[in-house]
Amino acid sequence: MLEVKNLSKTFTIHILGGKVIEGFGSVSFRVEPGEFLGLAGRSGSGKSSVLKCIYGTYLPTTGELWFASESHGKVNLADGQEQTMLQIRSREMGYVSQFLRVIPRVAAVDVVAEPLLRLGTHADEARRRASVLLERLTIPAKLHDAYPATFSGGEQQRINIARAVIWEPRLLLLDEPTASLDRGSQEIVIGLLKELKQKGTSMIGIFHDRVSMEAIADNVLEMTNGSRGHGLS
Amino acid sequence: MKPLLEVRGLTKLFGDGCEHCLPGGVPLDEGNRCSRCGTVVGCGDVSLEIHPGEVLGVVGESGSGKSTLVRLIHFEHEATAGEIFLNNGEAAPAGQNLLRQSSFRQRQVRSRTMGIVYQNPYLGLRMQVSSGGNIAEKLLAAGWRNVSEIRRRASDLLQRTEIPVERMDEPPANFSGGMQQRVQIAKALSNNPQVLLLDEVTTGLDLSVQARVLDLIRNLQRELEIAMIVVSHDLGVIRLLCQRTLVMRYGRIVESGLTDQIFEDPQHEYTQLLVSSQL
Repeated sequence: MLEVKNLSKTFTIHILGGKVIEGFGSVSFRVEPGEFLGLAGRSGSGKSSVLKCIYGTYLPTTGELWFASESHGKVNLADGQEQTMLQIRSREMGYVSQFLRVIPRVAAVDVVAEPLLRLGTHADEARRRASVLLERLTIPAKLHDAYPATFSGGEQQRINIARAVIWEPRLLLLDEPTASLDRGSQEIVIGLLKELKQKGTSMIGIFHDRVSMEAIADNVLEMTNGSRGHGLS
Repeated sequence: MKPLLEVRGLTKLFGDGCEHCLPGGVPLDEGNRCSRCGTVVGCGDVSLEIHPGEVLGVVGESGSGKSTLVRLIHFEHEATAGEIFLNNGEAAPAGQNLLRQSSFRQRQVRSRTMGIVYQNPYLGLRMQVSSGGNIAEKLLAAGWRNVSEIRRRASDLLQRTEIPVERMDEPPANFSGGMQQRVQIAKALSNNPQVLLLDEVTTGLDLSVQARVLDLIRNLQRELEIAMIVVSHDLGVIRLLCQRTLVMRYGRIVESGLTDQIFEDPQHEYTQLLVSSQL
């Protein structure tokens, strides 16, 4: 599904006089359909940066990101083709960010339903499925029409996850999906992700919480600060 | 997929120009004034593409050329150099540089395929003509002739933009700023444009009014799938509405990319400055 070759990222901060900050050194790995690759490592070792390079939020400094797209065939995401990237994000690749980016004045159920609407599902059906998913993630019906800006961190995170899994992307990138969740919610989320895995979605996920990681990851890539020592176990 | 609108090398110079600054303007490090002849570079060698249904942001400081760019695309100024192509089959045959066409032809293309909303409603509306009349004017320019259809369309659009239909025959001079903007939006949408140009449409509106106008734009965009060019110096507005963004300075594009990339991994020095200046 995804083959990463020699990916690295450095940042050049002009407003600090051109200071160069290394995000991470060369990494290479493959992820097959239905496989979950965990990214582990200390804070600042570049785990989120790897995900952001794949998603196009960061421009890779070196490397190739070969993605087996259903609509475009085998493409190198690092090519910088904006239209291709927008279409892949819309139809095939999802991203669960660490923090919910709140769109103001949109109800929780609509935030979750939006990807389905974008892909052509009828509005009522989309909202119904969104409600069902929110209930499964133990967000009570009373909150479905409320605005997520006022939710707790854990509730916001569950909205984020719901929004990404509802449309069953082929490749899902997860940045700390269980960080703010209690044990019970974590298990529900892992359950959801396992179902998605069964259906063939590939996933790359960052977890600080080893228990969750071990419950779902098939392989783990250890990131170490900026050096070449990245190990696959 | 072919882009809907293609702009190549668009340049607008204010002044006589000289060999140093013609045809594409001066190098970026000279700012936007030619050091030899004093000509001002409104836009310098700007190229962009916009695809059907896409929302493109244009961000930059005051005087960076954002509004000039939009007015040039709307055929309001005469460009000094450059090409504009509209690839939608009927209104303009492919490969025809619209900047080389007669102004009659340009106005025809404009009234059939474009809509514009200005920062100042006085630019986009005739304040003493009724709101319904303002919309009717645009429909007439686009070729509509049946009065009752025009009226029905106007009433429909005003409802969509949440203007009470009872006020359709009142002039916008009687409305609040936010309502005036919404009349502008209704007018801009009346001819089912393929490209909507939004020039600083919420600048100057207070916060809750701004929110309502932005929500309206988001919902309309999702429903009607219109391509939009959103000009703003408010990065929050750009982030909310746009999938791709151009950063302008001194009339030039200094960086372009996916909106989240521009904000989280800005490459150009000016973009980094802009992004780090956000509140």
